Amino acid sequence: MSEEFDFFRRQLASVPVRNAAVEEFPNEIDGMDLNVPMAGVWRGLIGSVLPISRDRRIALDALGREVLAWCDGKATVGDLVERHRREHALSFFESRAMLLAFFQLMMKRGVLVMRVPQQEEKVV
Amino acid sequence: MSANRLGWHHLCVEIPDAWEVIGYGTQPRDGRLLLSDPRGETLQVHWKTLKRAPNLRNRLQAWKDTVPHEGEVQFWEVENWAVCAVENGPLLATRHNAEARVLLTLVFSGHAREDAGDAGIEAILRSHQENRGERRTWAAFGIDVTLPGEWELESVEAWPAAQRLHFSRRRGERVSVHRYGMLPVLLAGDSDEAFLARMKGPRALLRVEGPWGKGLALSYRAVHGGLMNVFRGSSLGLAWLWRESGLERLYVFDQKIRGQQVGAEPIGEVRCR
Repeated sequence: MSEEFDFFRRQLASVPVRNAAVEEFPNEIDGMDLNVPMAGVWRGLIGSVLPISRDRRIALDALGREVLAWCDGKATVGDLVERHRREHALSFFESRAMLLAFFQLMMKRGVLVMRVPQQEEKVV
Repeated sequence: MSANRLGWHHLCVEIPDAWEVIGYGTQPRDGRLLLSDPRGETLQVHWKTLKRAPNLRNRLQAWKDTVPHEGEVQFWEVENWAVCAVENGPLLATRHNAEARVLLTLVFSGHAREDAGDAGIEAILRSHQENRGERRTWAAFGIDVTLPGEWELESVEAWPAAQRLHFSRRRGERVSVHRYGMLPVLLAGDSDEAFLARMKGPRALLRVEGPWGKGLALSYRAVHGGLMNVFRGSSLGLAWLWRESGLERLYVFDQKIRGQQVGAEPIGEVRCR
């Protein structure tokens, strides 16, 4: 099996897991506001002197809220791509590109982490 | 397995439905296309303009030497294609069009061979039609359009739920084919024509001319600022938009050709898929 092929399968077998510390509130655009607590020594030190925010606010639209709700810690990226593809009548690669960009952003913001299967785990 | 058309520079073949273009080159002289299905890469298409006719057999031999293999290597021909396949590995097919001086090479991955079988791959090769002459087909990213041969591909915008192919013939003349998905989200409650107006921006004065087939015919004029209106004039553009029932997609055919009048028909045919 080629490395590229293996990477492709491992990517689809990865499981997005939500950060349990993130608070969720409905917003007026039918989406969701997320409060992501921010940690760090410098933030703590500076925060004890200056009034800086200890959490980050992220606003999701209805589409983002829908996809985030699907991330239950069990569904793989492949499952979510297939569900998104079916519900929005898109092609596999359209859905994949859309969801991977969304997951990348959410991971950067600390909302999600990705559980990637180890080499020895069976990838279907 | 249902088939889709893949049409690009110099190439027009029928490929399995699940194969999608994920990488592309736009230059007619040389370039490549990369296709994949949900399991991984399936096909690479390479084209190159050569000054002299190549020795196809030597090219196959050279390729065979670069591919790691243990089993048998087979050589055969399918119509004008010279084919080389490595046992349980990739398959390479190549042909040279002496008139256009273009060498076309298709590399099918091992898993594409597993899925389609060598008979399926031969069927793909047999379906090939020279994509040149009076009418040319451009079929990729879910768009399938046949245009007069003089129209050249100018640019491609391939986004999830929004694909556009732009063609030009000479300065100031342009044809664009658009395909949009996720319509409830994209249109956000607007009508189809309001969405098109939003896409074209405030510098295009859009006007609905009336019903056309399953959709609408529209015309537009570009508005330039101040004296630019005098210098550049404002040529007439025509657009047609329609939805294909069952596909949940919105299609737009937009053409800007010198001297065209309201009531003209689109110069290309679009197959919806």
